[in-house]
Amino acid sequence: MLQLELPDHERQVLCARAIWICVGCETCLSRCPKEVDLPRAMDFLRQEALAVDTVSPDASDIVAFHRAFLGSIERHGRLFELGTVLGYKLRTGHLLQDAALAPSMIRRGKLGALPHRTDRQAAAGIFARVRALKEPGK
Amino acid sequence: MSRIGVFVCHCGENIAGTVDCAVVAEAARSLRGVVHSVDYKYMCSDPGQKLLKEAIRDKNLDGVVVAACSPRMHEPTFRAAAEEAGLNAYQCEMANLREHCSWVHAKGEATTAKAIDLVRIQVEKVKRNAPLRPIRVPVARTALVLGGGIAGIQAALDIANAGNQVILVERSPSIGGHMSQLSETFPTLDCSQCILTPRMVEVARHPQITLYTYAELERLDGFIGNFKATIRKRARKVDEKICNGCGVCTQKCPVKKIPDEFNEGLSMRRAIYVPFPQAVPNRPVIDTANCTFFKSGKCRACEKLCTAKAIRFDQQDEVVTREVGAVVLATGFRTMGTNQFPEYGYGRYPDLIDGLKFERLASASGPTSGAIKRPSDGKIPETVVFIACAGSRDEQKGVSYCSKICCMYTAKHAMLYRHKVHGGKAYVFYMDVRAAGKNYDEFVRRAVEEDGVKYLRGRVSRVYPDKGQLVVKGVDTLLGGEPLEIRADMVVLATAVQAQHGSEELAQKLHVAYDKYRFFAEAHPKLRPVETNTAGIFLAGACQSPRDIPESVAQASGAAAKVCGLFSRPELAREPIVAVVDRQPPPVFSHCVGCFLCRSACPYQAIEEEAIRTRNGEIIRTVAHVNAGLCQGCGTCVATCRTKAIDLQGFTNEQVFAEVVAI
Amino acid sequence: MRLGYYPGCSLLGSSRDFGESVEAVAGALGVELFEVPRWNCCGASSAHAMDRLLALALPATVLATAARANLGEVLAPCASCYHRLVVAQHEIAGSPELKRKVEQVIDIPMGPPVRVLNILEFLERCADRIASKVKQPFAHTVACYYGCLLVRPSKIVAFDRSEDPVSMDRLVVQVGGKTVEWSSKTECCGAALSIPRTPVVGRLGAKIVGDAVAANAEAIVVACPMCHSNLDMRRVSIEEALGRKVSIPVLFITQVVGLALGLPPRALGLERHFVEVKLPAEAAMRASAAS
Repeated sequence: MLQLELPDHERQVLCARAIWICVGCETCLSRCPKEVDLPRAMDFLRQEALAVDTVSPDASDIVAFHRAFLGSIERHGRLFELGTVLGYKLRTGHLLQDAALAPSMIRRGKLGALPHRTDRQAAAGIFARVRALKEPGK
Repeated sequence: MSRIGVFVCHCGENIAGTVDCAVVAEAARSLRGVVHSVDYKYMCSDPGQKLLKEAIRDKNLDGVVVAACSPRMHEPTFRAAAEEAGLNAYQCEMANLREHCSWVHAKGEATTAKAIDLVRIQVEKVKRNAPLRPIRVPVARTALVLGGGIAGIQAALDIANAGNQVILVERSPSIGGHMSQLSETFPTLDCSQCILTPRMVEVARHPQITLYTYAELERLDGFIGNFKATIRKRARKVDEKICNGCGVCTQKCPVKKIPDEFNEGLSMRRAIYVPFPQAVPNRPVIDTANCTFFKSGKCRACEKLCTAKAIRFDQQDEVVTREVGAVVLATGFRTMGTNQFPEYGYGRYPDLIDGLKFERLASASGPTSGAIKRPSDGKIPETVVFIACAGSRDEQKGVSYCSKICCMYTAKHAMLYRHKVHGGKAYVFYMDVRAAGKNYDEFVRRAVEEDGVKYLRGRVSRVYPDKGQLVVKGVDTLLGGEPLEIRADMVVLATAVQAQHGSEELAQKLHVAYDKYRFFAEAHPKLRPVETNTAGIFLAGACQSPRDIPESVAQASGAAAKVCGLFSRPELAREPIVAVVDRQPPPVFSHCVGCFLCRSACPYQAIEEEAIRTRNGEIIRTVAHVNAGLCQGCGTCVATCRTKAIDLQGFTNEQVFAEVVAI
Repeated sequence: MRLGYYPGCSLLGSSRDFGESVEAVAGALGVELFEVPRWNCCGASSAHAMDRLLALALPATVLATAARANLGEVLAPCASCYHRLVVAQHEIAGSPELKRKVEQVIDIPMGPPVRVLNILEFLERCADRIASKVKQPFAHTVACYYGCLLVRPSKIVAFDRSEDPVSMDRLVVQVGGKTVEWSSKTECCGAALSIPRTPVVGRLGAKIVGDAVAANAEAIVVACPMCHSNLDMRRVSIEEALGRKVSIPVLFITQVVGLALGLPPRALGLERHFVEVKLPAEAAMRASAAS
């Protein structure tokens, strides 16, 4: 896609599931003899796929997770784990996923019922300004 | 009063198409000192040169300006013609009306005016030119060859066979270099030592070749034709003349656990050793860093057992100086170690080896007598993975070049493995296969088609151990890029070829240029591949860049030819464009104050001290003196001199100033 | 010693044990930790997967706030937070244009650069203090698992070596332990796919846990809450992928150091693990603590 700049390749890549399975472990960059910045390319491809709305249906749950995660930060400034997981379940319909895990997490004190709060206005402000820069006028 | 002749060349349409040559000749006629000015179609042709010579004779010219192309084209032509007509060559100058004028400007009055300027500048210079004679320098007809590998051996033999003396200096105890470590050579699969050892013996026996092994160059002073080499012959602690090569000492020495360098660490040697059975000279050497006697004063077993009483513990290094006329650099290469590969285990997996180690395994004279065995447990590997381009063409590892020989030797290794282990599986991971020599591509095809070596186009991202094998994680890009894993019993890396240890220091000792990879630099990559920019020092073999045996041999012969050309005349004639320190009558003696700033500035170490003495030998003053043999006429000293005591013949301050003022 | 402290979201919740052990060890070593005021989430991998500017803005806020609070050095025990802070700082420093844009978004000026330390660097720095306070050498053989983000990309993070790193191993040896040589030191655990693609995490974790067990380690020691979660909380998925039960416990390096310093297991959050931390001497200690 990068070398030949043919539209077919672009379509193929942006619709691919692979860009969402990539977790950003950066092993590829570490091994590449030409130090091609693949993690950066992956980030870019993900953002492009979102912008032109070609996210692979196979990856919809992964995107849903990211959206739930970021939604939590926008709302609370920090990750509200319970809220994020519930948000994910609602978006994907995987209502029972990890349901068994919840009680053991709570028992171990690892799942708080309430979000940790910080300066919510600051967080919301950041998200709003980022959005404004991308879509001026909205 | 000067009598200058100006000859304006049309160069066909090259100059005349843009510059009005008749007008230029006319304008030159009116310059003070010019008594003859013509224009002509082709000055470099025979009639053109005849025109020049006749004018010099008929008009008694004492200076000539040929306004034509670049001096780099035809200065020798016109200077030779001037000499033939009886005018000193250095009183003929050229004004470049082509590269500096007609080729870079459009036709017009301004262009012609510039051409007139250029002619006037040269006329003003030539008026002040003095006749100069080439400098004659004697030549010592002995060549110093540094490095006793195949390139050094070839160069030494060629130079010696032409009737010259050769001193061959080799750092290790035996000549032979890496070629002596190889099992078989591509593309013929000749036994390497079988074709090499006759040459090694020839070198040892040759009446014109003096062989210093276990020796290194300490210093090189002097200049082309007149170098002075200081060589340190390290003490073997064995009297070479008395030793008869029986080898008893090497069998009885109690220190047995020193990794053998010749066998790349696959076996052990003793503290007193001969590097390999066919070593030349076949004399042992004591590794004093590991010898018990040198560490604690005990043992002396070799001395007691020596049949010829040749052991000399008190032997000292011997430093000799020799006069040589030329130097051939043939110091070879080294290979990148497997410890440079973090993703392949930092070199800690014993069954992951490099190409040279594989050569020793495959060698009939090697630690396993030619059987391919795993270094870890001695078992015969059933699956071997060869990884090409390991380190080469890899900017992350700091080597962006191709090492040239690995595609060929990897094919060779895979073939040798398959010849020796019939049921074994050989995989080669490659990026490209570079097999450009004679019969080379056919050789690689043979590996694939006849010997069943499996070639996979892709790189290996990681190798790690698992249950006694090595897991190789690679990819086959020709089959869609699916990652694949191969469980190998042995992995052979074709590691990058790099500059020999100590190259940088040697280059600095010799004032030879080198590149960022520490390979020595040739004078011109296309047209002068066996010379360096340092006069009298030539290059042969892989010390210049990775190359295989036929190329090294060819280049060695080329370097030898250059050396023989240098030695073919009893004297060297050098261009007299050199710097000269002025001398004046007493009491001034010289405008030089002896600050020697010029000496620090000179890139060629051409400035020496000269003592001005009284009749009784007392020193009045020490001034600078330019060694005309070394001086390259760069003019840096002239620019540096505070008192303008040093001037450049052929480009004096006065001449250059006149040029500037004439614009 | 006084240090800025950026716990990050996971140390408050799902990796509360890590947070507790960090603070307990810091306390025992006499290090004062000052939390970055009103710190926000760094964005982790979700931010840089979805929006570049957001992914820089979130960590930039943390750095700017730390600089403002005069915290020249900040400890970020979570490897992901550490990675995001270091990379964001590097990218912003490399482009004045980017810096301007980010400052516009976060509405605070960036301030002087802040040195971000990961948990291993922090413990290396305290090496002398640790040496003098070891009460009970951690006499166990463990496999040190570094994960991805502590050591990559090596040009920016510039910490230890990216293949076969050794800093955690050295720390374990320093407190009396032994480490094994094994091949999955820096293999990825699956990170954020823990929720949307749990079987993948199970498979990746299975390789890691399998390798550690094959190398005869008694425990796996980690320095990242995500790694811990994927190897500990997701043990059931790992066992599914392996086809057998595996009980090798996973400890944080701070818990290992804490135990060596003689701190009680409870204070180090060892009770909160999914896979019971059962090391021979450990069981004895907890038994005596319970009685």
